[in-house]
Amino acid sequence: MDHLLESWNTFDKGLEKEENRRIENFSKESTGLLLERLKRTFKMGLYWNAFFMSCLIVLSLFHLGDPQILLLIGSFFLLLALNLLYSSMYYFKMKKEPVLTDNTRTLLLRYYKRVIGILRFERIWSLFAIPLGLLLAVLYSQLRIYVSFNEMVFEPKILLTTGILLVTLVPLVIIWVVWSQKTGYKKDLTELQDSIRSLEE
Amino acid sequence: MSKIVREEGFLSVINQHRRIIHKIVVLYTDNDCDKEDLFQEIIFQCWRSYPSFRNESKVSTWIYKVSLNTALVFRKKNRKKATPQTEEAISQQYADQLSVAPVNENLLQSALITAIKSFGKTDRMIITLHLDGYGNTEIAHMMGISVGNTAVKLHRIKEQLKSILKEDK
Repeated sequence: MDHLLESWNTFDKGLEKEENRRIENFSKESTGLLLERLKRTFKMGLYWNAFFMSCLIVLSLFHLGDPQILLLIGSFFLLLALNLLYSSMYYFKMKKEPVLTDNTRTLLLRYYKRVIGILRFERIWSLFAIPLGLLLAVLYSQLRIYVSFNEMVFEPKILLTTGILLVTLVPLVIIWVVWSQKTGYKKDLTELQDSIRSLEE
Repeated sequence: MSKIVREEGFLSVINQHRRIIHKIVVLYTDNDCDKEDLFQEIIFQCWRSYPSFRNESKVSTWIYKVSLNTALVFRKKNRKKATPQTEEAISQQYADQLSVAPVNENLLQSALITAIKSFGKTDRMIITLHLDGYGNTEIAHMMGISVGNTAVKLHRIKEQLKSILKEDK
């Protein structure tokens, strides 16, 4: 082992000789950490949520005289507001978490948990948002024709179209979300799991 | 403390210990592009954790911890990782080189670094800390595992190194 230690020390000294460049500035943005990338995507999701809420406010301005449509828009707005509130709390909790100064095992477990958590959030959101958005669009278009929920009669053609969309498009989109998560993050997650496992052996 | 003063203080600390970062970067990357990215990422992570550093540990230990943890979770998007050489391949390569030239420092150093790079990320962490003089207790504390587990792992890694580099010969 003495030989190895000597070689190691030579390698160490070699780095000192080779690296004379002083660090004068540095990037203040993370690019290589999965969690940081996911956090940025999550933040973008929050902005999109806020954007959709603004769209609903604008839409409601065109229907101030239609209480039924306002009720429909209001319900969806409330759902988005609740999602925004819950997601924001989750986001700020993540943001406040200590950085990479924990011991390695704790860090890896927390890191893995957070990555899985964000991905689960994305999946659940796609599970709810897509069917709900579709239903809202159908109800909204019907209310514009029939004025109130009581008068609303679903034509078989519309019912069939909605049914087909719900049965085919929604599962397809959900499968796509799950598949894209699996292919996009599989290697990262496997590597994290391997590292955690290697510490527990 | 103003941001500029804080940044100057931080850069001064980092510059004093930048060799640690270079060492980790060499051991955890395979190409120049990744080297630069990991280097920047480590400095950024050190900067993020700088306000919480309270001199409870040595500066070098803090930089080591952040650097190794960053290297452990660092992975560039859409970048294919080079397949590490197997222990047998490294050992054979080293033996071939020895057959044409006597043992020299450069050869051994290069084989040692290649061998360390062929280990798993956590094993690389243990041997790096050990070779840099950290004791089993300190390594165990930094990694969040028991001292016994650290000792077992270290023994296994050393045996692997000896086998690859044929140290007994």
